[in-house]
Amino acid sequence: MKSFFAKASLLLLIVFAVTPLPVYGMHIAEGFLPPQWCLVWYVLALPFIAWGVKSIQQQSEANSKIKILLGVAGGFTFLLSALKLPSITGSCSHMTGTGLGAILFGPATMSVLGLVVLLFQALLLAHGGFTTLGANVCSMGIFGPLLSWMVYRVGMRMKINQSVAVFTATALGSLFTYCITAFQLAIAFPGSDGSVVISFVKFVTIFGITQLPLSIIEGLVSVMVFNFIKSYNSEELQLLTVIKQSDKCK
Amino acid sequence: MIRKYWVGAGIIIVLLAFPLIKFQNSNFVGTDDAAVTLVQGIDTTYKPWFVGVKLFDSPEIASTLFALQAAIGASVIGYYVGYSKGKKSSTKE
Repeated sequence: MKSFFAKASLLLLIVFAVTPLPVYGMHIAEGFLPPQWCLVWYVLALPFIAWGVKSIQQQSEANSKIKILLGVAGGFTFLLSALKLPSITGSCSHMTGTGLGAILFGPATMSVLGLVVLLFQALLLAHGGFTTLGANVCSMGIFGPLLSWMVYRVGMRMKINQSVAVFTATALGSLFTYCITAFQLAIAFPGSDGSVVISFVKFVTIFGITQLPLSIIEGLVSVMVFNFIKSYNSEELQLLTVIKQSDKCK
Repeated sequence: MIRKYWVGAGIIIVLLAFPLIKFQNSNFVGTDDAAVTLVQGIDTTYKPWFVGVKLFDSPEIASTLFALQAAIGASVIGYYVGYSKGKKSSTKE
């Protein structure tokens, strides 16, 4: 019965994916960050990407069994970041899908997977852009997943319910991604009085409120997928120190 | 456990259906378009300093490519689901 719901959730996601909606983006658009800020975010993103590549190599070499889960993390990010969903503000946005991967593999790995997705969208869909790629990688591939990973690990240390920890981590990570986007735009475009705070409030009102219900959806879908992985690949989750031996049969 | 899944699925449906019902006449613009408008409101002289190369300038093709992206992701997850179930059932035998 559990697998029925997992399949039903997947089917629901696919239906929304192929429903023809006008294509609008959600990342910082091409040319809409001044060159100096593009450079700053590129410089900040590059070490994380290098760390991510090394981390993927090490994790794959240490145990080839986890490669399939790496594919799932990438596939999940590909799927969720393609779903343009309507929100309570009358705008639309998309989920990130990076929180689940961050829980499984840590934030470094997700910087690489986030880069792949953002490159695909920038190259083929003119969604986001090459000049703003560094900034978009920082928000979607680094800081969002970093928060998800931290929240999950703290949740596990506090011994809270695992599904609650996954939901909270992935939902907050998704929301935080867009708060970072708002911050990136606010420091590049402060208000007329030079106030970054006022500008941030304006941008976060656009991104954050729109993202709120989508973050809840992302949290719920992530819990469903996580529970499926736990049912079938608990050994791999133990190797990745995502769960303990005692969590296996819960 | 099953009840929790029903509740989760119900919440997802409500969250998706509510904006569609409330904003029936909205064209649901992307948040980046709204952000671009805000940028141009804050700095009225700002012009994008780089215009990206659009390989496909048709909204219909762009929609198809978004669907392709989702299909790639869904295929990987579908493969994993099938692989996991097959592996478990072969272990039982």
